[in-house]
Amino acid sequence: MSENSSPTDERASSGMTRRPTWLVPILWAVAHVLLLVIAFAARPVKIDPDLFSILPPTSPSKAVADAERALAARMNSGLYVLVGHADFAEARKLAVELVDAISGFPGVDEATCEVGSGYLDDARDFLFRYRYAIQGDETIARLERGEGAAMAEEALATAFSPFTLSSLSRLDEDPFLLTEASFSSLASSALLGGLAIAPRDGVLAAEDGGIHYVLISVSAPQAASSLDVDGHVVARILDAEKRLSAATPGVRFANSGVPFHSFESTRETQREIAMISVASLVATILLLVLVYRSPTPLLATVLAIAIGAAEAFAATLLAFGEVHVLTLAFGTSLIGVSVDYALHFFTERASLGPTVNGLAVRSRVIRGVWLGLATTLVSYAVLFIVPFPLLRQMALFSTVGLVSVFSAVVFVFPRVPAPRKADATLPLRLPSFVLSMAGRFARAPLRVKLLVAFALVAAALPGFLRVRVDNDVRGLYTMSAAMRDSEAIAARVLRHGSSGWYYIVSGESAEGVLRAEESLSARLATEVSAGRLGAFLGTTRFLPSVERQRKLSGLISRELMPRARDQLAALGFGPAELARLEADFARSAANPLKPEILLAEPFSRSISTFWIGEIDGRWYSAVMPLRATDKESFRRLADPASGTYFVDKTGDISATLGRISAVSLALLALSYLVILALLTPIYGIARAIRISLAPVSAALLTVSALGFLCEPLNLFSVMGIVMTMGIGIDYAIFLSEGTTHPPVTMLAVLLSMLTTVLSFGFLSFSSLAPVHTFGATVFLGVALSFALAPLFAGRASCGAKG
Amino acid sequence: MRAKAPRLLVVAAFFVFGSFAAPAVFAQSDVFSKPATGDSRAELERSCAALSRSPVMRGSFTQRREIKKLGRSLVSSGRFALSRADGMLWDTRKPFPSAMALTDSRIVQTSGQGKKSVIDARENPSFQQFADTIRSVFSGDVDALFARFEVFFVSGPDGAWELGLIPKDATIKQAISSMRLSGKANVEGFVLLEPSGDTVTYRFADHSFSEALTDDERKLFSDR
Repeated sequence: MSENSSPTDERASSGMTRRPTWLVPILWAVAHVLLLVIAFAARPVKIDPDLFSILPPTSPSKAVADAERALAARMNSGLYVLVGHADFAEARKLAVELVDAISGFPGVDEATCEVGSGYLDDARDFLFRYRYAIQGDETIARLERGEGAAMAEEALATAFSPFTLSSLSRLDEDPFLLTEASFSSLASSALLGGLAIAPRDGVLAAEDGGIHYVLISVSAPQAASSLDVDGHVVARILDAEKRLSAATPGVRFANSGVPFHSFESTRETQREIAMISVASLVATILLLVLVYRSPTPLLATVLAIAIGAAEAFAATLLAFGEVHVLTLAFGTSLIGVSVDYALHFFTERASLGPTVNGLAVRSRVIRGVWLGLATTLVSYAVLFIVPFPLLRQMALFSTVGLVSVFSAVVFVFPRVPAPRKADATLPLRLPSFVLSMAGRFARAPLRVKLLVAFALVAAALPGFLRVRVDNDVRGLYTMSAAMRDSEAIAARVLRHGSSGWYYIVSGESAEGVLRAEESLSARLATEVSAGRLGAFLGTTRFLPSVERQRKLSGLISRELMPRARDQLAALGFGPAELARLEADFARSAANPLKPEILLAEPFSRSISTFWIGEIDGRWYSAVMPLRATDKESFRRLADPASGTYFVDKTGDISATLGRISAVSLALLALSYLVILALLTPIYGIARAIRISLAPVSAALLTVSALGFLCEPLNLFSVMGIVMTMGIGIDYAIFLSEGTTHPPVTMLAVLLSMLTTVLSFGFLSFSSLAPVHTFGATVFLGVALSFALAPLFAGRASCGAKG
Repeated sequence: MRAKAPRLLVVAAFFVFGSFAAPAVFAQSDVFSKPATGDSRAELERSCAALSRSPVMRGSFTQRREIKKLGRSLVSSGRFALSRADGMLWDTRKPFPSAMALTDSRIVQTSGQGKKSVIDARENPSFQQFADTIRSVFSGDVDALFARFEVFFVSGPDGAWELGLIPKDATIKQAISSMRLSGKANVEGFVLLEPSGDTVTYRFADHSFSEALTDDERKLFSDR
């Protein structure tokens, strides 16, 4: 140990041997400014608040991932508001008022609660024009069974029966009431069964527990990705609801839709980032002021951290094109970690006094500081390797920030003017005390140490047994009670029964996709009749494949057209009508319905949700099952080999997170070896192992602590353990680095431990589960590393002088 | 990721609401200039009381459906039964037999071959709303009438009366523009006017009253 300190000691005691030049700090400043300029010139500043975009990719191919994303963008941009009141008329009136208010908000394309007949007429007209092309499975089955005569008779009976629900004004063109058949197949209970909302007095309404709800649907395409918390559409909607609540007692609102959730999360996250950063900064500033009692260290440190943060932001923006809000949330921990290097520098400088120049100060701390940085960066490198974009962003952000602050300490701080007072005293009583305690413990006989270790293991065991691994992605997002209630009401009232999983069907052409979808639909229809599935939605209900259209044409031609003359006669029509009917039919058979035609229809806007279209030469559509009983049996219906994929985002992501956790643990072992390799040339293998045992045992105890606290062991806690390795090892290193003034070093170590622990500790107050888990894990790990460091320090350390 | 109720479901929910074809304008008198208030309301209540004096009223009907656009009429006839407890039954006999039973929870249709199809109110709220509208017209429940419709009423010296109804609910109005009931001691006529201009006209005759439905009639209410 002593041989390491003598050269620097000599240099320091010899006084000012080398003046720090201005060249280096200038180069440092230039490099930093350059990065900022490049980053902000190359990329517009973009902060991403979308919590769904951080999730790791799970799709079998990029194209399918693109298809999923296109579908999600469409489905997730809808905002729904249910206006509830015990009196239906009142609910309706308030809904209309709210729609008026919302329609005026910026960013809102359309807000509506009224369902006029126009929409329905368009749909019916479409079904009439394509009555020979679009028919349900039941109708086709009946035609196949040769029931044409029965069907013709039934149409006649309907035409003459009271209160029919079909338009008869085109009876001459549709004597078999094919439009009606197509209509009722769509309206069959399989599809709508269980749907609670229905048109009433011109709006869509439902009743739940005595309250009448009127549905408002809002289209605001940018809502899910907007960062603007105050002017956000959701904020305005919530305001408008508040105003209406105040004016009318007894009214209730239930909001549903992804934009509501992302608004809430964004608002929370922004609030928390602000609070945590301020808290960390204030704590750090207080510590710095208390300890150094001089403004210079404080200013220099705060500036260095601010610049480091800006560089981190710029680098992330440059590399990823955007910075995610969660990266910023995690990044607040940077404050506590990066301040360590500055602390070591200024503590050493304060203890050496104003006569010693900056470079000498630097040379005394450089090795410990550099090793600290290197080990921390190894941990971040693990985050970088893991295939999870958010973690990579965080790794880059933190790495750049740390390196920037480190470089400031190394290149700029030596130039910072020394404290004027020659006897700037540092508060050394506490560090000395801690040091003596640590030293006493470090020098304790082996059997005492073993006893303590054994006691710790015994205490930790119950925690280990209770720990549970839980990578369920649903645990990562906690809804506020208000949103949860809203969504519960919406689920009951709308009762659509979608469970978050669906199929993506692909094909070589539009026709190929439709055929593949029809084949899947046939399998799903079996599930419906078996009662295992309520209904399913897909494009082919409105847009059959050409193959199916031709088949239907053939069946109609065989079963119904021969009866056309008699049918028309029974209704009072003659040869003129027959000729027109036959011409119509022939024309329809020659011009099948194609996707472009359907999508051009105004009413098809809602149907086209599931038609994804062409991506990279393949065509895609989605099929959404409703009210299914058991996910796994439906997974088996998919056939990836032929292009039908089962997509279970929550399940897949949870599985992926689990896999990544396992990979991370392996990488953790690797990082341990790398750290060992770093330390061995400097300390020798035996000591290197002993030093690195401290964070390892801290990590194990942390896992046990998580068990005691009933915190789940998931990817983010694993990441926390990775960080513990990199940061926690610093204390063991510092305690092993002998110095001329051990209490001073101890002071710096104490301070850096406190700032780090505080930073991560503040993170653990976050309401965002990933941030909270990560923060709590690192907090525990680092604190334990510090406490356990003396246990592993050799007898010759902790204060022996050189 | 949770999928939100796509607008498709909203459209589909609306699909159960077809339009209504109803033929023949019945009377030329403009009952719709005579809102039912005060004295006329009292008269109305008396007439309605007559309508519901027995648990079951039955008779024969002739239905004439006039399709304005085609300039054609479709004429059918059969028997009807109105039961306060069970609902309404329309048993068409000529020219093509079929039966329709409307209760407060479902609609049962029986084809000429005896094939049944049931529409459940819970699964099809709009269809049910519509059926409830029709039933309320024949129920004789004056309060229900005033709740669902703008009510108009005239009565003549010979005891002839006419009741005009315009639906209040905008959704129902998309299917039914107006309805008229007329009669003397019994309901004799019913005209339903559709937004498209089509009308359905009913003439009722051979009224008889009893305490309960017959077994045959009850069978048409069941889903088997």
